[in-house]
Amino acid sequence: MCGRLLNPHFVGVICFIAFNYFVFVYEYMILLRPSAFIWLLVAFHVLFALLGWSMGKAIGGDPGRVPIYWGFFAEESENRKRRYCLLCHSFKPER
Amino acid sequence: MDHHCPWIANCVGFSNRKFFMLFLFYIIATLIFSLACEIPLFVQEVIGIIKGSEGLNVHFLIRAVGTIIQATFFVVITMFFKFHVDLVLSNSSTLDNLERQRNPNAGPNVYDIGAYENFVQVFGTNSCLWLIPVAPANQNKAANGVMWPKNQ
Repeated sequence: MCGRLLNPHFVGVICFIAFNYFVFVYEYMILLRPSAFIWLLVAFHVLFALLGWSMGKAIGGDPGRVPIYWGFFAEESENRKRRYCLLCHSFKPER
Repeated sequence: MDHHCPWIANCVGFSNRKFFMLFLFYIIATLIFSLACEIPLFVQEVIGIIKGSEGLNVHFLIRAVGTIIQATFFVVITMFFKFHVDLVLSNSSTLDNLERQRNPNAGPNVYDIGAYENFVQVFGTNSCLWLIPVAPANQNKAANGVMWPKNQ
């Protein structure tokens, strides 16, 4: 279940986001201390929280599944081949 | 369910398409905000170094590399996001788009019910919630991920 998180693309995304957080919050705000830095940090964290929330829902959200037995019963004159997904154990619908 | 996206280690389908779009949107928004704050400060620092009033240090290099990486990904991800916005507005999914590339004479998209209706199908009818990562409310038109309204 969690093994899917170990692919290089996803790890790259996490590293990129973490690096951005580090560069902005530490390197710029804390080390350089521009005058309005408290407000800039607050605004950044609001955006970053929405980013984390969206990311969590995108990663954990169920995309929707093909209903079971889809395509199993003979319909009309469907003589063509159907594509089948070995992971989901169902025929692939048109859309 | 449409296709597997390795970048989010999940499949993108009808139920989480809005969250995927918002994920891209907030990455871009965060990058725009970061770059808008960082670039003036960075330019000031560069000017200071050229004038000789400040010295090079490792933190300056980290900032330089970080800002350049952010700017590069901002351009790339914005282009990718625009591609997906076009898909949403024309009621097409990533696989739909691939099918149309492989088979260019397959006829017009029967699921295209107009840009606003296509958009609302993904983001919901309540405009206050369009930017909030909660499941969209789709009272009318009854697209449910298995059946979609057609324009014929």
